[in-house]
Amino acid sequence: MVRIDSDGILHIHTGVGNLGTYSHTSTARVAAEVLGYNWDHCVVERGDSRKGLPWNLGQFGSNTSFTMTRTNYAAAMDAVNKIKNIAALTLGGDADDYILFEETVRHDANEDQSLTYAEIASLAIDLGGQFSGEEFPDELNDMTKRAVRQLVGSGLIGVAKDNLERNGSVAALAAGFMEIELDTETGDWEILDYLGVADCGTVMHPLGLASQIKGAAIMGIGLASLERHIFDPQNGLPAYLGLCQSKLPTYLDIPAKLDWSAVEIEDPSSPIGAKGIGEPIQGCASAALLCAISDALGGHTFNRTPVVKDMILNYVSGNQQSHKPLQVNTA
Amino acid sequence: MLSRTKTSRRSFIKGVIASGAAASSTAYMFGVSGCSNQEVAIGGVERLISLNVNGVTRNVDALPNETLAMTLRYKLGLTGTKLGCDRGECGACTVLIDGVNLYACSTLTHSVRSKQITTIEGLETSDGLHPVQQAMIDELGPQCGFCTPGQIMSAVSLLNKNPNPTRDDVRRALSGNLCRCGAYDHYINAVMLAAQRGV
Repeated sequence: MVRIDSDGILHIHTGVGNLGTYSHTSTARVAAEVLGYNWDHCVVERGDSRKGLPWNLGQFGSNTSFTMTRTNYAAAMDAVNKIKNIAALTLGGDADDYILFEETVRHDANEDQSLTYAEIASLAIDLGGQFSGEEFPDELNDMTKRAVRQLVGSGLIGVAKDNLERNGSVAALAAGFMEIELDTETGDWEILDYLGVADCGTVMHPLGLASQIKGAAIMGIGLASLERHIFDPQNGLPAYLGLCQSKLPTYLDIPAKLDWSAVEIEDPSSPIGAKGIGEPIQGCASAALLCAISDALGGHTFNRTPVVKDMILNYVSGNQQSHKPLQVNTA
Repeated sequence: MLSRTKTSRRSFIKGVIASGAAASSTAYMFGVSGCSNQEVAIGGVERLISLNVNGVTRNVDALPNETLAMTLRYKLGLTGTKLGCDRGECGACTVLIDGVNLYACSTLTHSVRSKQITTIEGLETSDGLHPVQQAMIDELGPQCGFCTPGQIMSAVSLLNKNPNPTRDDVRRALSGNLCRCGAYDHYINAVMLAAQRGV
């Protein structure tokens, strides 16, 4: 849902939370772009239902970027139609004759016939009806309807359900490349180099994407090799107490520099070509580390994670592993 | 008689561990301060002491076995210092004691009475954010942000000693601060940027 107030400021109302990925802002930029807004004139309204927030997908995994760019696109397109209709009602002519340019709407053939977004918003409030949120589509979620009622008359309101076309599933893919040095006397290894590549469609927030690719890689390294969760088999009680017994990666477990890249092939299912990253960028780092350990050991696979140092040592010295063979899903 | 009045080192530490464990669970589960008298495992009464926190003298009643993290968060209201593990593993509670970065969860409040304590709240000046804080924003350092105050305190301590660190120096200096989001790379970027701008 988007709202342009009578000062011409664009408020992008989003239900996306923040897990540190800043998706609320990345996905909000789509609405700003559709409406041709300078980002300095935009406010992301989030995190508090008193602000009037629509029903959106929460933030998890690789779903947010894909669904929320579509939703914000749909809402912004609704606002575009309303802006053009208000211009046509006020200045005459047909809505299709109008174009958006630098936060104004103007007649395609006659540049003098124009209105700023601030003027459009004031007109929307005066006109009421669908323009100011007095009327809205019945197909909206109840929570979105409540948000619209909360904001009615405070500006031009663009609100829509995402009915854009979608064919098949949208797979976010990733690849990880890792070089390690493994010490067969201690079972210890050091990561010399890592490159994470995400096939995430259009990149919306390069710094945020970089932080996600690297952060997920570090989580992946932990899952593959450090974080062993041991449970008492009779009662299911955790037998690992504290971070010292199930260590998550520290600064010293990763290289001083991690590299990242994005494929940047637009996805056809999204109007702006974006899709998510989420889990794949974690899994690829886990797989890369396990493959690197396996390669260093001449191709031996452990068929279980995490591959901890004593497992490596047991294999190198020809000792039996302390764990039982897998009972299911054996390769 | 002697053994009753003189606390042995062993029983003292046991008492600290017992009260620390009780405090950490109740503080999170029931939202209480974690410093109340009911939770004291062995003897000891609150005593009014003066602490120098962020350049201000603060008077506070502290138990003999109370940790600095508890005092800062629940008695002085300085909740910028986070409690992650409360057992000296994660570094979320890092503060500066006379310029040295220490875990506040593993520091007894009574032991820092004559020291200068700096918490994350004490870094900002009238000129604005501390250069490390600003660089954290500019480099998109934090993800969820819970470990960030501790990371910043360790970084400030490093840059005070070594204004021109290498990336390797930074990761060694900050290695006592864990991050579940794995934001290490951007934290290092931020510390390098702060060093470049000059602290």
